[in-house]
Amino acid sequence: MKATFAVLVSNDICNAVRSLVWEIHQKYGTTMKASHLPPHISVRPPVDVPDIADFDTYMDELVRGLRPFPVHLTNLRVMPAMVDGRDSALLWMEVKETPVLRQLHDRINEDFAARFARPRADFGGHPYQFHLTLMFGGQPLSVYQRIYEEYAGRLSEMYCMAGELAMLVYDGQNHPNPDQMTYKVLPFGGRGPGEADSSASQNLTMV
Amino acid sequence: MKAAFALLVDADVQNLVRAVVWEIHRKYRTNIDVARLPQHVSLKQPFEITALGPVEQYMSELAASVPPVELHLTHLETVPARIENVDSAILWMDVEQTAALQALHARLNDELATRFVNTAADYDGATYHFHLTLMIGGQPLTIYQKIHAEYAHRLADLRADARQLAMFIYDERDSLNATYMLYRILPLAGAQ
Repeated sequence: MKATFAVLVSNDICNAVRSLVWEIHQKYGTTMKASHLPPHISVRPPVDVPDIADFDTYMDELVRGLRPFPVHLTNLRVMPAMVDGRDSALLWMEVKETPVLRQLHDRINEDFAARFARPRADFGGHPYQFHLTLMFGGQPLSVYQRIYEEYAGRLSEMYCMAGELAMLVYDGQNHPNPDQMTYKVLPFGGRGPGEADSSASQNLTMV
Repeated sequence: MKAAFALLVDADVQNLVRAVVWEIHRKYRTNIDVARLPQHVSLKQPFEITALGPVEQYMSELAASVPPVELHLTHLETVPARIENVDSAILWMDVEQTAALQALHARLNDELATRFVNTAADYDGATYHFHLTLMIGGQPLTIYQKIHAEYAHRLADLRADARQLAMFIYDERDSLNATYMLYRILPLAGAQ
């Protein structure tokens, strides 16, 4: 079992992303596996988690110290990748790196190393690149390049205030297509018993 | 292509439900395919659509006119079902069938039928049963009955604050492997 944390984006950005994902899927027959999770910005790759309860407790502590921060999604990008043994790609939106995101990444890396397991070497430190994945695989790289040419102008320069952290879990027993789901969502700053859920009021700005 | 509208439950209830879903999946190797959608209470089962734009427009009008809804999730229930040719089940939380929910279901049926064609869906009408699904299939009915016996006390009598409306879409070109996803979320009236 693996798990990681991700910053959730506003509903407006989710809606814009999903509209494009669906359009591309309908036209090019790509996959929607990435849509099994809400559009998100992972703060680091998943790590092995022997006991989910410890991870759960750590998340409660982590969000208490977080405050909403701005996120800037700059442009679409195609990243060549082997997916299911095939030369394919990921289509993602690049996220502008900010000191807040980098600090969050570094802190989680350090905490993971201290509490859970040795972080994987790949992407575990610099230069981890923050991104929001739209889709991966299902078509060869050449099709992804066509998709990029056609849609690069559709999603760019989106902004929101991030205010929620998600814990994503992956069941490695079904490798290489692990079952995955959103396990928990908490607002930055935490929430005590009986306090209102703020998930409906994600602040958003798009230009 | 099909679409469906659903009320999303608040994050606290979603977190409680997902913890149980994950625990059951890890222990009994059920599946978590339905967890690709956020935890929700469907207002009507998926119905045919020919274009997304008009349905999105309708969704905007609907969300702007429906205030937040309190949902009472009463208990876990195992519903026997034939899934991929296996006698299996659906595990869901039963939702208190209130007059407000039934009116919302009836309103959706009426308004969709007025605006679009062929919008009838399975279980439409006065007997529509509101529920929140945890998982479907992956194990035989007997395992689901065991799961129910073990977990019924873990999820009961929950109050959820539904403040968002979701639209799900389903690509049924390949009916055996229908793909579906969360397409859009809007706040209900006054829930900003």
